[in-house]
Amino acid sequence: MNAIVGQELTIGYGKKTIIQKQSLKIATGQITGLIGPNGSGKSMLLKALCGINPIISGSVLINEQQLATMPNKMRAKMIAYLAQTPIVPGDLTVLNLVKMGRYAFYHGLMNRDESGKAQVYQAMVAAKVDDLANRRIDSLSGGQRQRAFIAMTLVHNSPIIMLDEPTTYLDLTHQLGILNLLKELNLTQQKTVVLVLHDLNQAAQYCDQLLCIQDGRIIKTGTPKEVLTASLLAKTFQVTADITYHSARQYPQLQDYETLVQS
Amino acid sequence: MKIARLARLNLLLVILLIVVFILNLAGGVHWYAPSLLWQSQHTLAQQIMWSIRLPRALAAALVGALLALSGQLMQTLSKNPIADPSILGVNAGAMLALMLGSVAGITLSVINTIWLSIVGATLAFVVVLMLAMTRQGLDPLRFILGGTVFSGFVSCLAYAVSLLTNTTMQFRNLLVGGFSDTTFKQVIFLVVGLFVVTLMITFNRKSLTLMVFDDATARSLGARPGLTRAIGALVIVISAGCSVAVAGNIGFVGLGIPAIIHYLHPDSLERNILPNLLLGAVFMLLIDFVAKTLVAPTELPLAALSAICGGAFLLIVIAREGQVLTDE
Repeated sequence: MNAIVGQELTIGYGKKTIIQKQSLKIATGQITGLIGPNGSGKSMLLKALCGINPIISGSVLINEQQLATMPNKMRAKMIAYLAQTPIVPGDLTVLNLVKMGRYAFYHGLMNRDESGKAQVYQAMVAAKVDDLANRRIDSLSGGQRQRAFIAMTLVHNSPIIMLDEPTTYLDLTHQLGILNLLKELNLTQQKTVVLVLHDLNQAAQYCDQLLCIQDGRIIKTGTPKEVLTASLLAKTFQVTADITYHSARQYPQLQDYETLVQS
Repeated sequence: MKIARLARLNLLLVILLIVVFILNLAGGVHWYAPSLLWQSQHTLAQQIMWSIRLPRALAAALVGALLALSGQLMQTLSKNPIADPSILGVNAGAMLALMLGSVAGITLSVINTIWLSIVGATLAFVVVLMLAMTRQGLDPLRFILGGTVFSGFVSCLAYAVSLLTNTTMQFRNLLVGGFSDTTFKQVIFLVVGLFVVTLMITFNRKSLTLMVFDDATARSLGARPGLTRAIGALVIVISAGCSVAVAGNIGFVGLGIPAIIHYLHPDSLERNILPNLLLGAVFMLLIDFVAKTLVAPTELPLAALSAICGGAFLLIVIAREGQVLTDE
C-alpha cells in the first residue's frame, strides 16, 4: 500500500518551475528520507506532498484520495507537517502549543473537541514533553523545543507525518533523540514518516526508503543500500567515501568521506 | 485554575468599567449626580446628563473597546507586539478620507463619516499590507517599517489638506481626538460596529489564534491563513474606521491595552478578547474623564492625553518586565 503517490508533479513558485514532471510512491508505515544537495528541491517537494504549497500540474494521492480537492481540515487530519523553523511566539506554553494542533478537530459554533484533552495529553507523553507542559517555548532547549513541535504534529492523530530537517540546529544527542522518537512512533503507532535529512549516515540508519533528489529530479529511490552507492555519492554529492555495511541490518555507513570539489 | 484567574480578571474589569462609567457621567464642567438620569423633574442638569454626558460616556467606552480589539488583531496578524492601527497608518487613512470627503463637498453626517473613514482605513491598510507582503507571507519588519512611514506620510497629508483649506478648527476634534460633541446617533453606529466586530472575532477565534504561526505551519494545522488574514483586516478597518469617525485619531489604546492584558494574563488571542475589550473601554472612559475635568472648563486634547498616560504606563510595564527577566 502506498500512503502517498505523486504523479507527474511540476512544482515551483510563480512561473519558475523547480521540479518538473516527477513521479513517486511512498509506502505506508515506512520511514522515507528525502536526501539531496542544498537547493535540490527537497523542501519544496515535501511541502507540495502535504498540500501546503500548491503544485503547478500533476496530482498527489493521499491514501488514494486526491489531495487537491481535500478540504483543509481533512487534510490536516491525514498529514501532519513540521516546518524547518516554525515561527511561534516565545511566551506560548508547551501545553497551549500542543492544544493549537487540535484546530482541525474543532467543530460547531462552540468549537467543541470531545477527545481533545486526552489526545493532547497522549501526544505530550509520546513526544516526552508532558513534564514541560507549563514551560514557555523560549525557555526550552533546542531538543525540547523540537519535541514540543513534534507533540503538536502528533496531536493531529494523522497516519502521516512529514518533517523538514527535524534535526537541524541540534547537537548529536538530541538529533539521535528526535530520530529515535520518530522511529518509535513509526513502530508503535504505525505512522508513515517522511522527512528531509542532510546527514546521510543517519538517513541510512533510520530510513526504510530513500529518495534522492538532484536539481529538481528524483534520481534514485530504494532502500538505503540501493541508493547510497559510491557512484551516486560522487555524482550527486561530489563526495568519495568508503562504504561499510552494518553487520546485522545491512544499512550502509560512509567512512572517511572527502569532497571531490576544490574550494 | 487558569479559567478561574481569567474569570477573576474579567470580573474585576467589569466592576472597574461600572465605576469609571459613573465617574465619567458625573464629571465635567460641573459635577452632577448620575441619579439625575432617572429623576422625574425636568431640569437643565438632567438634560445635560441625557443629551450630552450619557452619549459621550457610551461613545468613549465603545471606542476604547473597538480600538483595543483592532490593536489586538493587528498585533496577532503581524506577529508584532508594537503594531497598532494608529502606528500603521490605518487611523490616519480614515482621517485623511474624512477631510478629503469634506473638502470634496460630502456633508459629514454620521453615516457619511462612518463609511468615509472605513473606506479610508481600508485603502490605507491595503497599501500597508502590500508593502509588507512577500512570497513567504507577511514580513513583520516590512509591515511595521512600511506602516510607520506610511502613517507619517498620510498624517502629514491630512494636516496639509486641513491647513490649505483652512479647516483646522472644523476638524479640531478629528485632529486632536475627543468625544465632546458625541450624539446618540453616533453611539448607535458604534454599538452596531462593536457588535459586528465581536461576532466576526468570536466566530473566527480559533483560526485567528493560529495566526501567531507562520503561514506554512498554520496551513498544516488546517487553517486558511489568507482568508483569516482578510477577515482580521476587515475587523481592523471597521473598528478603526468607526473609532476615527466618532473620536478622531487616538493613539496608544490599540497598542497599550493589548500589551497590558498580555502582561497581566499571557494567553492566546481567543481567551484575551474579553479582558482586552473591557480594559479598552475602562481606559478610554478614564482618559476622557481626565480630559474634561482636569482643567475644566478647558478640554484637554484626548489623543495627546491618551499617549502621555498610556505611554507612561506602558514604559513602567516594560521596565518592570525587564526587571522580572533579569531576576530569573
